[in-house]
Amino acid sequence: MSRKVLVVDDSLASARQLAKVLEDLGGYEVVGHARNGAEAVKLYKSLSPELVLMDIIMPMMDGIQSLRTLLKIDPGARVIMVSSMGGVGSQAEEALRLGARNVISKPFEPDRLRQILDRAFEAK
Amino acid sequence: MGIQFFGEFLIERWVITRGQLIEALELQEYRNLKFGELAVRRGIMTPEQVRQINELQRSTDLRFGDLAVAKGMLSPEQAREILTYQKNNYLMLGEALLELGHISEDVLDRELAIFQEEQARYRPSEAVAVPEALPGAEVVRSAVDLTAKLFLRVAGINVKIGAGQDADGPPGGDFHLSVGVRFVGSPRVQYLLSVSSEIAVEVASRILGQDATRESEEMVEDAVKEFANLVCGNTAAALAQQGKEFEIHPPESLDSIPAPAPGRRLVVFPAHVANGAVDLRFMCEEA
Repeated sequence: MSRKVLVVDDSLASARQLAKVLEDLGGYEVVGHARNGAEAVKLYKSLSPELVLMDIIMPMMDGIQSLRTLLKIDPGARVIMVSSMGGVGSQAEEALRLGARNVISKPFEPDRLRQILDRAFEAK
Repeated sequence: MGIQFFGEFLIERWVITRGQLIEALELQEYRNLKFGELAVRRGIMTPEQVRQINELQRSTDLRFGDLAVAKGMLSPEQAREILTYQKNNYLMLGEALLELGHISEDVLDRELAIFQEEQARYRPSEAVAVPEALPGAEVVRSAVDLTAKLFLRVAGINVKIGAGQDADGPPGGDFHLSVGVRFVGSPRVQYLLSVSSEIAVEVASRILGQDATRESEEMVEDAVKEFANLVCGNTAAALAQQGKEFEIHPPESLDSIPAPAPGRRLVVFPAHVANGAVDLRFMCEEA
């Protein structure tokens, strides 16, 4: 059975790219796409995804605020942040401290994404 | 692999766990005091003044020290002294991991060497020529270098970029769309990229992983914005590795490239591609 993934990214192209890579990897199914943090919270409640892939830099409610809200609703939420700044910078560090499972740098290699996703399901 | 944070690299190589990284980040936060905290400890600012500067920072891109000097709360010498102290006493991530016993010195040295070798290819090239006394020259140099590298890596397009020169207006020629990304930091720099329709479709096809000829205009534009976001995010990450903190705003579509206003310099880097056209400019604000 595929694992349900919610993609949160204000960029349509970037969300499509992630969905395509996940489809090619197999084992993951994108069940929803939110274009900002507020929409992500709404979709998280209705879709109950097993994993959230969320861009850090977004207009309106950014990835950090949205991560905070998601973890308040569900402290066990598996959220992986995606950023063109990678894990570098204060926002990525804050995301890890708040409880994001990892931060992926863009552009990413599919194999590396697979490794990080699989590990999110192993980590306690 | 793009620009990476050393902690992320260590987790991926199974050297440390995520929990150990968080402990080290917490130790860094505890030890590496913020500018305002140091100023209060030295008795040269009050907690109320620090609060006021923090409040002001919400509506400006200026750094704490620059704002405190601008508001007359600190002298430029006092601000410089604090910055020097911060720089000389900064606890690096590797040092924090060592201190916590999460890594041995041998392993740290080995991993750091591998990490630096891998990241070396993203370091800005000194060969990028920027006009003299350009504010934000390091941002510009790094972004020009990464534009060429990521055009090749992400879109398979070979772009040759020439020496930068001052410009007084928007590009001539037929450009399909223009996008911009603002760097938040000091000085302020805006990345401005214009591309012809062939290049826009090629970038979109590579990002989407399928032919984008029939994609909507919105999707193609979004892909070019995402490309600019990749360049600028990787630029900010490369600068952060050198201790210079910049963040970026989300990319935006532009109806036209702005003309330089007083206090701003517009620079253009001639870009050559085989099929289509690329124009790369930067708006740099005098500090």
